[in-house]
Amino acid sequence: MSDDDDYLSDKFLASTAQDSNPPKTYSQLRKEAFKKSREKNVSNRTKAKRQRELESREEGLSKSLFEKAQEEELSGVGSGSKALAMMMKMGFTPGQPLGQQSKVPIQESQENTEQSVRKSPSPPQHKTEPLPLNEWTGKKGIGSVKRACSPGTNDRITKMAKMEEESTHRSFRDRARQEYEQRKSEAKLGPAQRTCSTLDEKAGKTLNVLWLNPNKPETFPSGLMEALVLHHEQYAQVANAGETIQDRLHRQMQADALSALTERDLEDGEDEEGRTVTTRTITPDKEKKKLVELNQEYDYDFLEEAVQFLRLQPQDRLHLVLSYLRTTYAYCFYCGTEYESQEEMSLQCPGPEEEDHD
Amino acid sequence: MGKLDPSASEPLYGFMPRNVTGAADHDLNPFTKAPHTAQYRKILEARKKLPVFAQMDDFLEMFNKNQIIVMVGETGSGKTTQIPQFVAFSDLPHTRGKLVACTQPRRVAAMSVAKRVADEMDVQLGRQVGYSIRFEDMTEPGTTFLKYMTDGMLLREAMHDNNLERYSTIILDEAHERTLATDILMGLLKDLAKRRSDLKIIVMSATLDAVKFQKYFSLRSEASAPLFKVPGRTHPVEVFYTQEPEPDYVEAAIRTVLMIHRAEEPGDILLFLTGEEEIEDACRKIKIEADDLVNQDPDSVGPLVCIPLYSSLPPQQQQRIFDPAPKSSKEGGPPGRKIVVSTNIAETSLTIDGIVYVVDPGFSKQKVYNPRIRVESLLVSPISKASAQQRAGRAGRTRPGKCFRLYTEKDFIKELEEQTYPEILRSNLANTVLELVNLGIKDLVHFDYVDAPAPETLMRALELLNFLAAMDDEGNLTALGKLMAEFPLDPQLAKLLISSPEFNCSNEILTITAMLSVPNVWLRPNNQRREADAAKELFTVPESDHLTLLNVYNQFILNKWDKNWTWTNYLSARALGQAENVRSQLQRIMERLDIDLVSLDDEIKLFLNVRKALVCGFFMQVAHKEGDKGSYTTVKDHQVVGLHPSCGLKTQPEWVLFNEFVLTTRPYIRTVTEVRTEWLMEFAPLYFDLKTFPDGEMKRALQRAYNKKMGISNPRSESRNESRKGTPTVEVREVKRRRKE
Repeated sequence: MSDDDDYLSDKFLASTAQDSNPPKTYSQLRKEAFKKSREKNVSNRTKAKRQRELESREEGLSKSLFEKAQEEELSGVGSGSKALAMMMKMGFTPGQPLGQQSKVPIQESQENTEQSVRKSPSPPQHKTEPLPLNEWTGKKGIGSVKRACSPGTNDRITKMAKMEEESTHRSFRDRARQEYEQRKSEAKLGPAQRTCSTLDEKAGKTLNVLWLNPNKPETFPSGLMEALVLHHEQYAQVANAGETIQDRLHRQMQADALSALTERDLEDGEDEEGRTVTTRTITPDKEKKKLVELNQEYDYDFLEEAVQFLRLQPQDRLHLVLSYLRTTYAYCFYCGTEYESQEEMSLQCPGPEEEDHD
Repeated sequence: MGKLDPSASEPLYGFMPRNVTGAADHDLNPFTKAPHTAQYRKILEARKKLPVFAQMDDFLEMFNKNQIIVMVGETGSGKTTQIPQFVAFSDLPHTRGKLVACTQPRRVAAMSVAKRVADEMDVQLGRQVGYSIRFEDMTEPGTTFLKYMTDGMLLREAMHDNNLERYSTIILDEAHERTLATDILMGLLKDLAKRRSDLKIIVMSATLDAVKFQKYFSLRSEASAPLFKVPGRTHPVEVFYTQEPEPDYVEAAIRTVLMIHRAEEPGDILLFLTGEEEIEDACRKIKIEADDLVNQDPDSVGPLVCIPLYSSLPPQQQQRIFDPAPKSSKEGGPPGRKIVVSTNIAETSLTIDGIVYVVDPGFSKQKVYNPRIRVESLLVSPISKASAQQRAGRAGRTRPGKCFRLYTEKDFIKELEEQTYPEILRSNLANTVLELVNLGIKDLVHFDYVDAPAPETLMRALELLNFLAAMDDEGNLTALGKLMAEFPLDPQLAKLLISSPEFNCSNEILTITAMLSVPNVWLRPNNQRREADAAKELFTVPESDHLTLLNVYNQFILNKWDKNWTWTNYLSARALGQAENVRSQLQRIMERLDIDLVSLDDEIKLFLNVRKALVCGFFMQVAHKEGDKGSYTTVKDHQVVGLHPSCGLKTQPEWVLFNEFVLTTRPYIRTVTEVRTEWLMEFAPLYFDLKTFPDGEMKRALQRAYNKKMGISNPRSESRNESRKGTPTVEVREVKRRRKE
């Protein structure tokens, strides 16, 4: 299920329906969890190994042997490199290339390399550094991958990668905070809805959209789920279109009459009505009949409202439930008190938000 | 009789060295004095049609006037076969007991060209004309005066004969390929030319970087070496580029090949890819697609054969590239076409006639050695502009052709390097440095390199030679180093051979060395991988891939009577045959140097000793098991590596010694043997000096072994002596805890 699917999408309902059907034993669940964790472990480990290979390689390649020899000598680990000493004896200076300095030996040795490169591009410069290891990725053609890998650019790429990582970290933090808030609201929503239903029932109400909790489909009043599915099928496409009362009535009539009309049937209008009805009577469907009954139980407005409610974020649902409690029953969730009247509540309750109660 | 003109019986009568003309037309063979065969006449007619033949007089004139000539001739000009003959006729080296040498970068080329030239001169190969390659000398001292040889062989000869006195003229062929040995030879010859004014040098190149050679060989500072140019026999090639970069070059290449097959005039196609697997895969796909096309439209699409070509292919199969294109399936139907899918060996070294179309995705696999982590990488990378030109030129050998480059023109200009990096910049120089030092070259820093290698590469080479005790701390060659240089082997292997008698296993080490010096002996056909692996399993010695190689060789010798033995065991008969040859050559060198050939009867002890001996040569190639399962870290360079999939070790021992560290898809160590900590400390105390190790798992492991060896009566004082820094307490605690256990 992707994140875009709302709570009432078919997929969601289908999957919850499926999940709830064959109950799993604990050992099955444990097995599954174990399998999952093992898979995760393995993938993490191989990734880590590649990562370590890459890191060690990059570190090894980034430092010249002269720097390394110097470091070792300074830290007292090694006594410097004998090979380097041999080369120095031959007249080598670290940073200079090997070979005969073409034509202008005296001048060049005095200038630093940067200048000499700029000033005299014509004589072929011998290399002072080993060739980089070019790692070409996959089968991409020339031009579709930019060549990198000289030590300088490598550093820059690493830096950029780090920056990017930071930005994903930041967005990760944002997302985490949001998720946290959702979870918090979700947690409060349960008790709030229970309070709501208790108060409603005391007041004699048998049905309220605000009791619905999409995470607990089993708490839905019987038949509501099926009715919602049906409702969703029928009206998903037209739900938001500007509609007149007649349209609505018309549709309700159709809904009352029978179910599972396709869009085409709706558009074609009354002329088709007779035909569709007859076809339906020819193929009587127990399931559908039951659904029709259900639909009669929950009226159109209720279903529509339920759909809207369930689509909301937990924070918003919580807000709706709490303000309903306040306005209808003068009940403050955070005070946990049912006040005598709105006036009393406004006097005694510090405010509608949780922070007000700290 | 006496009145007869002496020139009738003596074809070279009256000719002065370096002033010879027209001797090739005489009735008698000037070298054998026998009448020419009919074949000679026939070949001579063909030779006269070569572009270079028409310029013989010009060439000889320039040759006589100059000490060094740079020569440029495209492939097909005939320079490799003709110029050395011209030189031989001009020099008449046999009259002065000298030779003309012509170097080739590849063994196969040296052999085949020598054969061809022997035919052209109507002499027997191995007598007047011969060749010399590593582990095979096909010459007759005193008789041979024209010698084709690998560049590496000439370099080795220079070690014994610093002035190369035997040679009157030295021709460096295929200099544009810039092999390591050719590059070093150029440096040596430039210097030698100053000392030996009688020595003539010709540098032959197929591409246009001749200017570089001309400048390099300018003996006097202002004038550069003269250039002799031979036109090639090539036709114009039209080059096409793609409009956009390709997301998948293999897929694009297959598409292009099929497009050509469907829409272009008859003519064979050459497609360049990077390696065996990629080539075989592409061949399969092309075959499937082409069959589809033929089935759909048999009236306009002709049959197609797809032939792979790469160096590890056995010679008979390589020969298939010379098969003619398939005939059209029915009378008057569309003509068939041949497609050769090749690595870059078809770029310079092999010429396939009939190629009209070239498809160039712009990649090749290149070996690059990096001294910082001592890895040899074999990675796919973009080719150079020079390489791309060379590839395109392959389309114009028989008639005007077309080259399809699977990249944009902009990227050709912007993304591709001008020249392929010469081998000297891409190689480990340990062997070369040993050779140069043995040649008496003291100053390797200011050696006149055509392109100087990275200083760090030289540093690594000196480091290795110093640790192997081939060079002392002052940079002088030691007696051991001198001995090591006698072997045409990497210094590690040479050291291994020399120290093997101490372990009473020199026979075995000799075999292992030979096996490591030949191409891969294991065959693993694509469709029979499991069977091949099962066959290999039977030879596997669980603790050492080196011993596995020894085992295979011994079994091979035992089963020589059975022609099918290699075949049924998924082994390369060619590689094993080569190993046998290499072994006998090396054995001769060992006998000459008085190195004992010994063995032990007790196999367990023998195997143990072989593994110990390996440490003496390869102690700088050791990795320690660290972290996850199957993960190793190389000593000193701290590279995280894995065992190569071909490795036969059954367990994951704490320390392993490896023959090579390669970077392909991942960093791998290949051909691995289990070794013990105490061996490392005993046989390579300098390299495994605890003081030089940073704190870590590796140091602790070494410290434990050290303590154990010392018997540690007083661990506290021991470790204080050992490391000056804050580690001793940790070590002591560790030791104590272990004792309690």
